Amino acid sequence: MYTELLKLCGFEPDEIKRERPRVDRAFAKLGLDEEDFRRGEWRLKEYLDIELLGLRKFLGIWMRELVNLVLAREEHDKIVYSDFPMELRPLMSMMLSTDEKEVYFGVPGQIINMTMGQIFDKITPYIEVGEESGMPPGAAHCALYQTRLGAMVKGVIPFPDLSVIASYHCDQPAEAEELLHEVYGVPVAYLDSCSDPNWGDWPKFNDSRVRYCSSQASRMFRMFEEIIGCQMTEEAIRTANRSNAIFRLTFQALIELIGHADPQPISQASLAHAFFLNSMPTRDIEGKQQALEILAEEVKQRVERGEGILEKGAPGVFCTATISVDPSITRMIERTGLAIRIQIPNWLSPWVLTKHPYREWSDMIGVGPCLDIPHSCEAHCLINLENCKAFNVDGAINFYPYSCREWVPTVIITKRMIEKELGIPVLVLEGDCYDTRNYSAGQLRTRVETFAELVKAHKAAKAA
Amino acid sequence: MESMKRLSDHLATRVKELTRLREGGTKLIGYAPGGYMPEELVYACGAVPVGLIRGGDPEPVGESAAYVPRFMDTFCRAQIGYRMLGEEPLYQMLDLLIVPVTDHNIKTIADCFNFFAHDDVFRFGVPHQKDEHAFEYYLAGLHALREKLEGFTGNKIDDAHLREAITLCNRMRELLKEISLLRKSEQPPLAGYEFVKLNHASFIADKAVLIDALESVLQELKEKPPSGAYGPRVLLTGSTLAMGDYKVLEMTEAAGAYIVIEEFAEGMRHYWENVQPDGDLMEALADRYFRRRQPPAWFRPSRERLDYLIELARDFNVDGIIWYQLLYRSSYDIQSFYFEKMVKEQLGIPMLKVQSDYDVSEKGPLRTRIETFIEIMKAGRRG
Repeated sequence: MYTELLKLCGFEPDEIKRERPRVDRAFAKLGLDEEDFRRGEWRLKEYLDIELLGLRKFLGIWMRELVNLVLAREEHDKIVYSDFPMELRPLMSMMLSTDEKEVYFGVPGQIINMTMGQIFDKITPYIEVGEESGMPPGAAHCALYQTRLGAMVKGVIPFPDLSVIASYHCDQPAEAEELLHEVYGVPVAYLDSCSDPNWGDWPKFNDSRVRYCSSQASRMFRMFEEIIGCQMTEEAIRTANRSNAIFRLTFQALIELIGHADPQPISQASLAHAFFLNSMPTRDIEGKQQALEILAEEVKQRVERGEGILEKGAPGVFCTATISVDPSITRMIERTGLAIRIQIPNWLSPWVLTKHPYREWSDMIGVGPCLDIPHSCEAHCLINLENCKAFNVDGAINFYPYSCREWVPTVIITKRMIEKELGIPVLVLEGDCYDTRNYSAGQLRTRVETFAELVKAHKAAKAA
Repeated sequence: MESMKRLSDHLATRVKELTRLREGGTKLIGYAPGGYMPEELVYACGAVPVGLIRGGDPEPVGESAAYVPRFMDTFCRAQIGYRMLGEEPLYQMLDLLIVPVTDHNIKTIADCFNFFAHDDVFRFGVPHQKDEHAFEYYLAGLHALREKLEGFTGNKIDDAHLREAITLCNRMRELLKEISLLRKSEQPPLAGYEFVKLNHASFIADKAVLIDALESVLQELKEKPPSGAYGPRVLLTGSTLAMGDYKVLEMTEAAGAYIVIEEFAEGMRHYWENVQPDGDLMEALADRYFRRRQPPAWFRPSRERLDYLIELARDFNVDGIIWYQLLYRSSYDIQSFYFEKMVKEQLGIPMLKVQSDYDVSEKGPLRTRIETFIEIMKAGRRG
């Protein structure tokens, strides 16, 4: 029933045969049927560069993680959850300090989004249950956290023994986890910091902030060790650090390659499957790196051959629409004739790779909140501006995700900054990264098509 | 009451007075009224603090749409609207805005004042839990604020001035507390609406005038004969109760209930705790404003606040709780889900959750819900 779909997701025939009992159980629990598989196949072919082996391998990683997630209680003694926007390094180091057979470690919201959303377009039932369970509709709650809560309450995925959550990027994860704790008794370990840089501070380090976040990382690690009954190991930390750095650097190079290529070699929708692995801990470190290297090589070959998904010379835009639950918006934008040069803003930030004086593990975790985008509106907007300059774009689409209070102040400020400094058109496009009910590609197309005409005219005028 | 009228007259001329002060070189320091900004530091450097607590009007909320998308807390959007509309004098005359960053809603006020209004804005962080590292971080923020204020005003904050300011603010809080506690009586001598107005005045009024007025109010209330009325007693709690946003108070009390106690994250001055001016004064401020301040809904563990609310409800012998939150303040929306269960289990009284976006069309349905709720409480009392 699902053989063809799994093949599209990079599964080999012998793996499909071997894994069938597990996949059957997981898919049954998820309520997936023939119609869903057909829809999934169609969506993969319609929206992604499915002919690329690297992409298929990424899809395979997500699909395996979905099965592992659904069967986690059957197959493991302990379960630990986290979710976006928790940083990957601490998650990986915790995960790798545990025995693979004993402890399941996952990010259920992201996994469900990237599979049930991206592939099957079947995310809404989870959101609806989340809405009935303490995160009501109409109140702009984050659908990522509604989805994971809904999946647990529905009994599709188990409740964890521990949740580890970053409480500083945005407010919602900690609020949702307090609900999980109060109503369902799940212990939660928080990584806390404060989003309080003044304008003009970034990208300077604030030692006090580093130390505070560092203290919270230590506290989180201690709670993890106590509840899960393990010791964080140096080897796990080293492996997490090393694998994360290698993946990140390879990914960074791939983004640069795609962003500077003309024509645009692959869809940014395909790249999202690699991007979101930057926030999902997987024990398949080798498979993840291998998938990225294969994809990078395939893209390189396309660039060398001058092949792409758009015509050469298409106007290039910067676009912040990194939607984990639905590839159709990104593809719609590209199909209007706009080349998305850079979509994933934080990956080009040289500041993120800045050398710092901190060497203790928990301090290194604490450095993140001083540099990353969500911590400071000013940083967020300036990085957007820098990305536009670095890729010499002809326009920008500033995607505003509904319900995302962390992005609220950046939307119009970014637009004003880019328009003022670069004199290029900027479109603010509203949608949702995690909930497809509030918009559709068809509904947004008219606006994007008009904008595309404007960008093309602007580019032509500039050339003349 | 005569003293309330005096205070009201003072507030009516306060803008003119502040304008004069400013022309004379005094700095006006605005701040986000979430209870984490010690006014004592502002007084100690010779400046005048002004809480930005205006709310309840639909126009500023509409105006904010030109600067931020809709999905953030109504009060915070309103602050941006008041600043950008230019019609609220207090919002136009500030020399510096201080924003203790409590969550992303409040942070957005700082960002918009910075970028769109080109204001001088100073932020410092408020961690969301209270361990010793969080305390240290908050204290480091206060030190940075002190440095900023000293640089900005050119006046050094010494211990003598700081102690004086602490004494002044402590007296104001003591009086507010004493007045508030009078409402524990079976027949409260003042309405919740009146107390909230007094509390709101404390964000803007001259402290000496305010203290004088509060002393008189207290005396007058102590001498006031019992009214003979016995309406249901209500605890009003929620995210923000802004100056001008009095609809829930008015509707509740017009329907025959008494709001005998309020608990809000923003817009209401927290008066239960005083600064203990022993030892290091900066630590004493952090102790009062962070460690001993009752936490809002975004703090963890959330139980601290909820247990406190249960205790308040018992202490003030309330018949019901009205949970009043503003749209898109997600922490309050989520917390209300499990608090309602606690209220039923531990107190056995009803709770009404209402929400506002400062929209005029809300008033009709809101009145119906509040009146129905009060009837339920009355029936509960009779039963």
